[in-house]
Amino acid sequence: MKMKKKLFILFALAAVLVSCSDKIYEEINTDPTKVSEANPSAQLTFAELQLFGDMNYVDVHRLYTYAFTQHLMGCWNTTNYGGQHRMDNNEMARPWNNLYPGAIRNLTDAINSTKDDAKQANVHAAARILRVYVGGLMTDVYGDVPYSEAGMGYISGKVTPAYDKQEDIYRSFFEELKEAAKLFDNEAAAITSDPLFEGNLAQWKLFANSLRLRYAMRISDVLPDLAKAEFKAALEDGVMLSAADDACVKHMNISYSFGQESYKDFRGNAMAKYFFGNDPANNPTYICQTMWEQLYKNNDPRTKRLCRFYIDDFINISTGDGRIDMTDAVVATQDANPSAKVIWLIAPGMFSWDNWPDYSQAAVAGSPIVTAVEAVQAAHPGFDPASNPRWLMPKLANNFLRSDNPGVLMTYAEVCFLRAEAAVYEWTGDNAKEMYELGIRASMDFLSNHYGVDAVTDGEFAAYLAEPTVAWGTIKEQQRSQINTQAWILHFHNPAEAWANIRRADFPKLTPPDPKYLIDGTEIPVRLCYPQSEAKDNQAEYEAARARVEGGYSWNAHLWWDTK
Amino acid sequence: MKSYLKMVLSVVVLLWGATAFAQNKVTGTIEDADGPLMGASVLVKGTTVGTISDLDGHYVIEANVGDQLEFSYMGYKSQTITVTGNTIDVTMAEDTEVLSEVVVTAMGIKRDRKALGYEVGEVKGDELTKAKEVNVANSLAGRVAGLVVQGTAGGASGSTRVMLRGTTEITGNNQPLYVIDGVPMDNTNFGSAGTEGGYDLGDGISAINPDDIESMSVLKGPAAAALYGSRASHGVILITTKKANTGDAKWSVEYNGTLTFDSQLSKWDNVQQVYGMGSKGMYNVDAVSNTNKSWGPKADGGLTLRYYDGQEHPYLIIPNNTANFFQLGLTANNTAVISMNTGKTGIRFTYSDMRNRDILPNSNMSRNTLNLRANTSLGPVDLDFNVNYTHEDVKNRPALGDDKSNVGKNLMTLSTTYNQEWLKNYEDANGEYQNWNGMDPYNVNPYWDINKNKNQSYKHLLRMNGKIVYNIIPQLKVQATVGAEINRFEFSDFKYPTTPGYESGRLQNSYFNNRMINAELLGIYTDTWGDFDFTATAGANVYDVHNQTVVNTGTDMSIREVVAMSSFEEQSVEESTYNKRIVSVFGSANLGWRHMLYLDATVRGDKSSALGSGKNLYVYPSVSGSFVFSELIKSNRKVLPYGKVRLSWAEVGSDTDPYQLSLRYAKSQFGYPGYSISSVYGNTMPNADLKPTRTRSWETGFETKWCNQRISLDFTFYHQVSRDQILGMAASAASGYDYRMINAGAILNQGFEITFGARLVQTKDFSWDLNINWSKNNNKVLKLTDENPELELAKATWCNVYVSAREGEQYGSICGPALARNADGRVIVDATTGLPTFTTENKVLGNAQWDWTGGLSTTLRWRMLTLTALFDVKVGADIFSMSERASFETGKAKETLVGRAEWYASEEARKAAGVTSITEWRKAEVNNGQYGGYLVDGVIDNGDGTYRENNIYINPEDYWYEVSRKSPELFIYDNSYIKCRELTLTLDFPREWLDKKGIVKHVGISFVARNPFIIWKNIKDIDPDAQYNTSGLGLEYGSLPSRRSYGLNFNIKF
Repeated sequence: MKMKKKLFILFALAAVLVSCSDKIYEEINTDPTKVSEANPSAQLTFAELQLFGDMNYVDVHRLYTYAFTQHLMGCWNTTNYGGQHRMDNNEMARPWNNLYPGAIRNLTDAINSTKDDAKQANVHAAARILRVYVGGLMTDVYGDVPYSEAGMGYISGKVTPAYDKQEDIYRSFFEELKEAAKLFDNEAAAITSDPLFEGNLAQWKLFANSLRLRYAMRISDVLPDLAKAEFKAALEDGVMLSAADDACVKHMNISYSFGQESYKDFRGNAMAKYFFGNDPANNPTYICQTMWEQLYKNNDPRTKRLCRFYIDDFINISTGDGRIDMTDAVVATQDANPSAKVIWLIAPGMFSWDNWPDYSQAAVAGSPIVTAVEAVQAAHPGFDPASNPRWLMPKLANNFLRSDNPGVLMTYAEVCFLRAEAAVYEWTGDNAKEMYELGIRASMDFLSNHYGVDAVTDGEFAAYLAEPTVAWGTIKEQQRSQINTQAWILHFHNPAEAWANIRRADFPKLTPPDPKYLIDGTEIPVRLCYPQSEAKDNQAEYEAARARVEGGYSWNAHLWWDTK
Repeated sequence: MKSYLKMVLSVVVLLWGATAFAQNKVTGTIEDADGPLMGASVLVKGTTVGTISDLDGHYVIEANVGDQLEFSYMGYKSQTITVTGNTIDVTMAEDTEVLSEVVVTAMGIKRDRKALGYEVGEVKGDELTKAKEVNVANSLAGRVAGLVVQGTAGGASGSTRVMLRGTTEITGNNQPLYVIDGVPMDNTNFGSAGTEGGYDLGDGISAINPDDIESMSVLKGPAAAALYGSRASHGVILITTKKANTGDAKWSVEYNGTLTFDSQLSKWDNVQQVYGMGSKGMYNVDAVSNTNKSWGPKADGGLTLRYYDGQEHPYLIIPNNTANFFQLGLTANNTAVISMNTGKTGIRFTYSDMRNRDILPNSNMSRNTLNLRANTSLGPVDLDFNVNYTHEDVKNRPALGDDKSNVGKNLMTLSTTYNQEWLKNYEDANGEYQNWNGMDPYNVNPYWDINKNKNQSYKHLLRMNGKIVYNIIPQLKVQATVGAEINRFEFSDFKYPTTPGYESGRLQNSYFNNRMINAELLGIYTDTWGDFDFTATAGANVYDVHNQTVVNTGTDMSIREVVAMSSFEEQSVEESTYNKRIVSVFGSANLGWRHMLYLDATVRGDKSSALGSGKNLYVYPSVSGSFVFSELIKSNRKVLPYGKVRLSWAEVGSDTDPYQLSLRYAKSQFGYPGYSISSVYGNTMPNADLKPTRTRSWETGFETKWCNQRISLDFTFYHQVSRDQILGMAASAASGYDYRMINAGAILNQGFEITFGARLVQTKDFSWDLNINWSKNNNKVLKLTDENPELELAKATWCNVYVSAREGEQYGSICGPALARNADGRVIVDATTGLPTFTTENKVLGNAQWDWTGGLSTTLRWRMLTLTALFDVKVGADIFSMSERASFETGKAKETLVGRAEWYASEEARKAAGVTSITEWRKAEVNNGQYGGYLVDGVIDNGDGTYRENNIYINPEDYWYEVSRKSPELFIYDNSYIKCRELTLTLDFPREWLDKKGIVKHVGISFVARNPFIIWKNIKDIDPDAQYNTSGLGLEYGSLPSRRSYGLNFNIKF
């Protein structure tokens, strides 16, 4: 009997333990170091910073985009992938694998969590506008992409999102931007964290409307009527009117590092970090011959503001200090001796060492170069100008290597060029020439506004406008060429847009690299391929999207808006 | 080493002669009820003088009157008889007790082996104490059928992967649960190397001191482990520690010391000795590029190159270049044990000190273990307490895998003419990194890494448990056990500023605070009714784990003199936790009939906090039975004294990690004044509907002992299927998540285990024991999800290789692009380049699972000398060796010599002939027979469905570059091996050599060796156990040389 009683107690105790309430269990299973409620404004900030701050994503620009736009060339990474048309599935997947689980997931989540809360109308609208922007980046890289169902995995349970047709995506952009811009409400809660516009609702609206200009122009070849209508409507709703309205994400000055944490740290401008490079002394950012010649041959006052000639033998590889600037001497020597081989250039497809400079050819007797070298030798005895003559190749100026450089989403200068081209098409009543010249001026001011280079003087500007290739042309195709060549120079700071606009406008005409350098195709690729993981994880949608590409899916198959 | 051996042997011989002086002969016959016994042993007690009986049971032995003779025979009770005259005849009685081998089973309950309906493996503690491993789990290799041990390339401070009967969970660690004296242990691995590299921060089991282990019971299948619940779904290893047994002397003191020298077992110097640093047959004047390529010209010493530091060195092959980087390692292990008992109370105290100097310079570790065990009886109440404190200190763990700081990886590709010693000049006048190779961040100077970059870890582990047993009535006892484990681990990793990849410097301090509590109440009722034996248990258990991790990272070092967080301008913090509670009730009933038929049943219910409401309670049963058929054939004791068949069936449920049910948001670890940055946490989509994984298994087998128990043979067949696996399934990144948690899939483990043991020889002075175990496991992925028939388990950094679970394949498929082949299996060669072509889809190119594994241990005893050897056999797994891949790409492998001389000659001839186009040169009329190089063994597509033999000679450098970047096919090797794991030669001093008063109870000296040699392997340069982590099976990269150790063990007991 006694024993039975004890057994009973034992079982009673056990029963109590198991019936432990689920509430306690839920508490145990709640991570005390994470929050379960979203802060949509902080998610918006995350997305804004990712566009230029995520080293994993922006690497695609160093590897492919800048090679395709022929802004840069010669650095191992740029030449090896984009420069030589080397298809690499992992590298091509960078936008996909980073922006979908990053900006798009968080914006989608923020939009969802604020959709029924009138107080959050402003952050809701801003998130919707930025989601359009990121969707634009994706579709301009890959063509048909998951958009309407993207980032919805947890919200809707959709883990195999459909690939929307690019046309549908673009059509939805206009509606979404219009709708979102209308939602801004001064009575609702302010956007508390916003390194793009600091919560300035008026600027958000201008940005939304200006984006409509961009997207309208993008479809000008395929849907000209819609393009015109949307362009005019956007203009009427109000677009960026000065550099004060530039959509530039504010980045922070952080120390340069390629360590593991840097890949999670979006605060600094990662593009600038790559420009600095992990081996600045040996593998710096060289300017491509195409870009250099455009600037130099047309006496562009931006030439020496963007491109510099540095001796890097004494560089401090962690700070970048100690570069010896030889620009004035090199350029002056070249200017004085046009036939001499003073400046050495890297043609598309070349590695920096494929056109290894020869100092003896550059050292014109009595030239500024020789004098400058003597000065260097005085400070650094034993310096041999011929041993490492990389300094005769143009490199990106130090001003553009700082991690607090802005992340450029859209600028007033771009709006001017879009309006100029629309005027050429006679969509609007704008004066095309006036817009073109305003655009050039704004492009030049953009450098001094954001990068600390000397402002271009009125005299320099006037002289440049008088350059034969720059002076406003008479034939429409020439005008389009001039506008879009200027846009190309401007978009050096927004590589995604630079590549998209070249493909859309077909200006400037870029010559593909010499076939002897090329691996996968002789034409400059016009899209990146979908990640191979999609064939496994989203097979039906992936195959359907590839099948829709006329003439067979490849990176030479044109996007819907890119008619040729 | 040789001289030690000589010394030991000569001492033996000397003493041997001195003992042979007994005068009196004793003779007699040894019989049992049926007649004479051959081979029974007779020993003069307290000496090594002994003999055995002959065919007729006769024996002759020299012994003095008054000596005690001990008669023994396996399966019979031993007898001791004092010598009074010259004849002693003995009749031996069968020992039924010997057949009642007692094993420790679930909940620590000791049971008769024959009552068990499932297989239990056993390892005795004394097998582990002579040739010690720094991590005791490594000592299990080859000892138990179905137990597979794999070390990592991490060396002494690293962790060990132990697997029982294959992988049951598609993802997850699949390691068994360790239970120490009834309390489950936290075997958390604080960090291991992944695709990008990293460190192996060790595991929990490494803190166990082998000297404290009495025995280990290996419960392999779910039936054996069912009572431990979800944590035991990969099997259980029960560790019973030593205590001061009543019956021992009042006090005893023991010292056990081992000193071993550790040297390199596998080396990386089997490389081509012809060509030196460079590319395309040329060297670089600056000697700063192509430092890790050996595609240069012939290294005949005619040249002198100027290196990064301005030093000039001749261009000559450097032999043994990699091996010379490493040093002789040293491991010293000293343990002292004090044990006391006063009747009902026993106290045992152990102090152990282990110090290890690794073969990697500047790497060392130490470990101190204090263990106190106290047990007493107070009337009907028994008390047993154990406290263990372990302190471990590791300096400079090696970085593994594709880590920028992996010394092995960075050395193994270093050019054949580049002496690694030249890199000793690793810093400049400012203490900054010397740019020796164009700041290549993937080949950091190894001397910089071991001298300027430091890592260090401290572990403080406190484990306590207490047990109270209340013997209410003889049949019923109730016991309460409470165990707690507090584990504080700190790891600090420092990169000096200017280290490539960490230019501004970096310090990362990780703090792990783990706390685990396990409380259990158990009632045991045992009774006998007539022919029936009956045992019932009922119990309840609470398991609560609370782990907290804080990682502080400092970057941008402004004060370089002080390695402290405050020296860094930028600091960030990341915190994470792991909290879980499982509450359980369980019960079991065992019924035995006439010690012949046994039936067991168990049931357990778990409620886990990691699963959602409604799905978090799961109940699972097991049933097993055994039939001791030898009870029916009693007359045949000599032939088959013991035979049993058994059958069991079980189900086990298991849960998952915490926080998998709902979305979490994390603030960025980096502060941006004026803004807040936050995002959805993690890349895995949570799922509130997860339900427990179910594993169902059945097992059958027999156990037999033959020929007076001199031979034993056990056999087991098992079949196990785990369903509703909780998986992080890959998802389209466009959904916002790379993975999603789901219940899906089924995985099969089915196999055989055979254990064979025999005393092959037994003579007067000599015996030879042999034990063999063999197991074969079929680990097949039956099902994944409908949408996705493949799950990536681990990814390699090269050649798009990954290891996966593929539906219909063995678990652990090594997949990647393959060489494209035509229908005849010939490699298709590109008609313009002469290079092979590759498939675009990924193919299964190998499998990381062993076809079968086995172990062989043998013991030879000759008088006071004992020789043991342990061999470990593993056959049939593949490994993707990225090290081998790198050796081909960089032109170091000997095979890369093919076609080099011909290609360089051909190119010279072409240039001399003024032919610029290579296609032109390929024409016979142009090249005049001077065209040569590497010819890919393959065919060229004619475009019309036919193929022609490839005739395009190419630069071997281009060939190896291509194949080592585009497909892993040529670098997947058979990883089978036979290793000698352990050798020991022990001299146990006979009693008469010790002091007369008997103060010294035992003295033994052993020569010991761990991993002395690899008998056979198929992969040439690396150790087959060189995987860089414990989950990425089948992947190897940059492994450091593995270690072999030789040394001496000394044991003395008072």
